[in-house]
Amino acid sequence: MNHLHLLLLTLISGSALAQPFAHEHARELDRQRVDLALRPGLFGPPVASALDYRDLSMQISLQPTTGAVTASMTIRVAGKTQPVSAVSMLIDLGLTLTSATLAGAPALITESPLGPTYNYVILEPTVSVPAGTEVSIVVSYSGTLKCLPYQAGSTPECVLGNVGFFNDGSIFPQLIDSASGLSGHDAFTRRLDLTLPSGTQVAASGNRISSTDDGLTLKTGWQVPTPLSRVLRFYVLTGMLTPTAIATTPPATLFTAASGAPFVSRLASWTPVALEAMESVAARKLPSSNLSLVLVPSSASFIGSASYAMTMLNESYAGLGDDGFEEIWAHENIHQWFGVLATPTDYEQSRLQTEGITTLLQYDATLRRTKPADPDLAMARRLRETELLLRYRFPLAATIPLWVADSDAVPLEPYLYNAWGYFKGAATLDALRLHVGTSAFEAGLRRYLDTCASPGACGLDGFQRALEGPAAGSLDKFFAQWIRGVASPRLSIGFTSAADNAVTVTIAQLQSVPAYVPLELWLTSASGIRRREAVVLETASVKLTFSSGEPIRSVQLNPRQRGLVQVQSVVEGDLDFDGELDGFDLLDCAWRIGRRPTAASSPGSLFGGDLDFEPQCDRDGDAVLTAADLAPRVTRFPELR
Amino acid sequence: MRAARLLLLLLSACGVSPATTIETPTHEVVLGPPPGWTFEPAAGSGAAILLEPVLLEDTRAVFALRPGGLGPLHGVAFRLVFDPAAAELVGFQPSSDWASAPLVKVVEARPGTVVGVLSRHGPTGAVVAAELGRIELKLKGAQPVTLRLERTRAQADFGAKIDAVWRAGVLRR
Repeated sequence: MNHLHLLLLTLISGSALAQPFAHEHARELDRQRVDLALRPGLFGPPVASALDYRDLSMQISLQPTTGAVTASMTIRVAGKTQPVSAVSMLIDLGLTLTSATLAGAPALITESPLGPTYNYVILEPTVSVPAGTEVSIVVSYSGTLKCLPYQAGSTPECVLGNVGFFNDGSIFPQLIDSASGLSGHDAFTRRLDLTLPSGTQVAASGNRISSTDDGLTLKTGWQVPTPLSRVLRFYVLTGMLTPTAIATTPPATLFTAASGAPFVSRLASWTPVALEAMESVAARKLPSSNLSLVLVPSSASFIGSASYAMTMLNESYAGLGDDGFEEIWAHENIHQWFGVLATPTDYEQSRLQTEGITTLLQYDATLRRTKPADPDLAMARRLRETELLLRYRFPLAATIPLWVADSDAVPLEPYLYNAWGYFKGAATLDALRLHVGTSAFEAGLRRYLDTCASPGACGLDGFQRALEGPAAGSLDKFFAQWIRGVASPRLSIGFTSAADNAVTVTIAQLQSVPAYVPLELWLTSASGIRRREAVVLETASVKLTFSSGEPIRSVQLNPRQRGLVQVQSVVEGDLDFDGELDGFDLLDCAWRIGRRPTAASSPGSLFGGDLDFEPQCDRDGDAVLTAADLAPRVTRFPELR
Repeated sequence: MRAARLLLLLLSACGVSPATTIETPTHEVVLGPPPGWTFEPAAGSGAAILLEPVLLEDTRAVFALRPGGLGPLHGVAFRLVFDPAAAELVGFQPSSDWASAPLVKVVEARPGTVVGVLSRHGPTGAVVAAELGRIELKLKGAQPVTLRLERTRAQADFGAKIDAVWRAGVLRR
């Protein structure tokens, strides 16, 4: 839609614009692009940055109670392939620039309101700045914050409950690229020297490098010493926060508002577990010298985020119960590795390397903690949520690739977005893990962090190369089918046994176009011994023979794959894939009668889903399990081999 | 001879195997009907679902499926396997507690394999019952009939599996 909007704008204004005003026209387009990008979900097509921001150093004096700000900052920037013609940014509408120099010469300042929130600032050099030449821009600004939301429903600025909350575009700027707007992955270091009233509690998303309180003012220094992607914001929180130290490396401090007090001991006990587990998976500790963990008051609509040395989560997630709350707490902290340490360069086009992998690793965190007797079945139960979401609630998510060429294809509707980016992403990465093996997958993740952590950030190609590594071989087909493309395979499985116990398994793809489908088959013997066989489908059907020392009772997929692959026995109603319609199959459906995919939230569901809903029992596909679904099977019962 | 026959019947009614308790003098000719069927239950202990004889006649045997030491049941599935040359299924009659269950089906899927399922539907609550129902077999000859319960499952509310040993036994005469 924003393509169309931009095109219309160009057509309307283009003919009237004489050459001398082309610069203003470009500015207006830039402004329009930023305006659109500020609307939830609209990013515009991915465009390479024109500017290479390298460092942002800020000295800010803030009175949190009044919003009075006096500030100066220095931006170091270079033009990537062309001279620096303009540098633009957003700050709070209540703040105005008092001076600006660029390369030591006064800069031309243009300020204009953008919506009710922002002062849209453009700085233009009065001297030539050739491409590749780093230039320093020194800016002073002051005023009183207005803190107005950009549009109805937007997160209110400057305050979360009774906590002061400041991020890019408020007391410090959100830097904009003349080519890529708000997006873009030029990474830069940051430094903030913040002066506050004496005694103010403060946390910021950086290494705390200094702190002095002379009884009148509190001066704290914060630093992000390694380049951090421009898409990651800088945060400052002030006010009614109670700190609790947590013994981790780096040392963590949990900040809670008064309403968060009941959760302190639990979060304090969960945090080392979550961090140490991720350190083990990632084979590295976090690079920051401290970690601020902020439990955002539930009165705030801000649900949480992560940035350098800071994790934030809304306390409303406690409503999931302790298991769910701990898992989401783990999720947000896992973002310190997948999101902050390694920020993908194609964030606008995919959430696989951020939310997908983090959701999978949050499941892993819970499984490590709960130590289920059968980890495959436990993971399969978690991935049942993906199956239900893609099949019943958001089938559209199955049709959207996990990496889209045009970022406008990223879903806008929040729950569809979650089904796509989080749940489908996690299920796909778990399928990839099954395909390459757990140790190869984890080695791949470590290689990804080795090679793609900032400043070596990479996109999906780099992620694929890291996962391929020396052992897994080419994953071109997997990525083409399941990440850059889509697949919704529907399979049928049948098998026959010979006198010598050898089994011949027939797998058919029922959809019209065969997909590339790596599978893990489970051949289970009469004595319950499970044997795993890796199989790759590329054709409409395959027939495979496996020798066996004892009779094989059932042949099925590892149920972890059912989030993405619909599978049924060749014997209709044979839920346990033993090739028979028997009492077990009827029992498995009978107790579920009356269930709906979303009617009840069961333990382990993050989406209000009923993980006990079994789609194989929903014979008519109407999203409710009834006696009518079961009746034809009862009539046919039993069908034995 | 008549006394011996009476003793045989009496012992049979008491469940004691006449084959091991009656010592027929080798020089005496025994006439009369063949000795009655007796049932040797499979050994075991603990929570179980048992196949227990309630009627043993010349060509007819009726067994009750009885839970023992189990909690409420929402459903069961089982297979009763025997030599088809020795017996065949006549029918299954659910107990009064299970007669109203929406899913009751016990059939001889193939000679010598009786496949059964009894279940309630959905969250309708489990049942505490002394008996699930009765299985009637036609006995075809005099040879022992080994009865085995296989592929069994006892299920509580919400699909929870119940650990139970399913025990049948051997019919002899």
